[in-house]
Amino acid sequence: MKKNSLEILWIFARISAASFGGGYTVLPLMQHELVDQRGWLTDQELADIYALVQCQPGLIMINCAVLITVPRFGKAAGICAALGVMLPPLLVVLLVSSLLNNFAHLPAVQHALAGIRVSVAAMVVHTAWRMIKSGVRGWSSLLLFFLSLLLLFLDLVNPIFIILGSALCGILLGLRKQKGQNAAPANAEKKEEEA
Amino acid sequence: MIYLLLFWEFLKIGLFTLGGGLASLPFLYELAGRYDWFTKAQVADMVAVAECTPGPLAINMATYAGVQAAGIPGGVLATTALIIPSILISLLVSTVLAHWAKGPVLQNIFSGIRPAVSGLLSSIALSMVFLAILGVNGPGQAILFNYKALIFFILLLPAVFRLKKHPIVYVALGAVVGLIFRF
Repeated sequence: MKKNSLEILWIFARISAASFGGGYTVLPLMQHELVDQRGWLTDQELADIYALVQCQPGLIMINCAVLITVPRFGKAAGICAALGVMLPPLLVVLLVSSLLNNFAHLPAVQHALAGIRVSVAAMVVHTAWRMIKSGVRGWSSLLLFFLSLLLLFLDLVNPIFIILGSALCGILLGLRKQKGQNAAPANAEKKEEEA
Repeated sequence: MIYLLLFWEFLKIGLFTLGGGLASLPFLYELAGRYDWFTKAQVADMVAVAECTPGPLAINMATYAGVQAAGIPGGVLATTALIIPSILISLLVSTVLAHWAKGPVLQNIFSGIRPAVSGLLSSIALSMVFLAILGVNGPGQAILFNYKALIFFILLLPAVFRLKKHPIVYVALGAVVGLIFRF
């Protein structure tokens, strides 16, 4: 199925332009454009891809765009889809930030920004709290949480290394859990023999 | 030279931002500390703009940060750099790594990364609260205790936790309150 790459760019540009500040608003948009309107994939396939990209480095929307279009329309289409996602925010923010920079020195803008910084602080506190609730489970998790918080707050370690280190910890903890699980059936067998 | 640096830094951010656009905040803070492109306080402004403009949060943040660093070309460069790792990894996953991507190793990696990202973001949250209330606007500026900001924060926080309105609402509210009460 040959698809005009420009058309694909435009489709994903529309999806990106309609998604305001948050990864979750994007799913119903993709459902509408890609599943309902065009039948590129089923609801289930979309859900699977969406779940997969949660565990993939990089931006959710870009990953979705590429993963959905490449198997169906090829690599060039995938890149166009990614560009489509990028263009609306790029253009809008270029405009807004240039405007803001021209007016940033005005006292009124300073006052507004000071108020906005409080709002943003409150929102980030809220988001951090939600992340803690969903991501921190168990003692090792809690330890990783506190370590990361401290190391960054005290400016001791570059966040990139904190991420790499935590990924490594995740692997090591997973291996340890696997060893424990392998030992369990062996113990059960021993008990059966002794009985 | 700055263009190369900008590109490289946002290439890294594009690779290591895991768990949503706000997860890029720790890296942006780190950039603010290392270069004089923008201040840590300005990162909060970027979040505000990014929440109010269409498109993925991380892309908006990168564009704004890039503009602060090096004008419009900076914005374009930073945004392009940000999405390149995503494109490459997704191309890999879609053609070669699909099997590995669903395996237990990746799950383990992420069960390690998730609490770490919560920790990083919590650290940023703390810093943002301090910066908002202490009214520090840039390097070399005196620290002023902004009691109006503190009161607004104490009143706003439960609202943010309970009401779950779109971020645009809180940003607009912050702007209006800041203006009226002359923060």
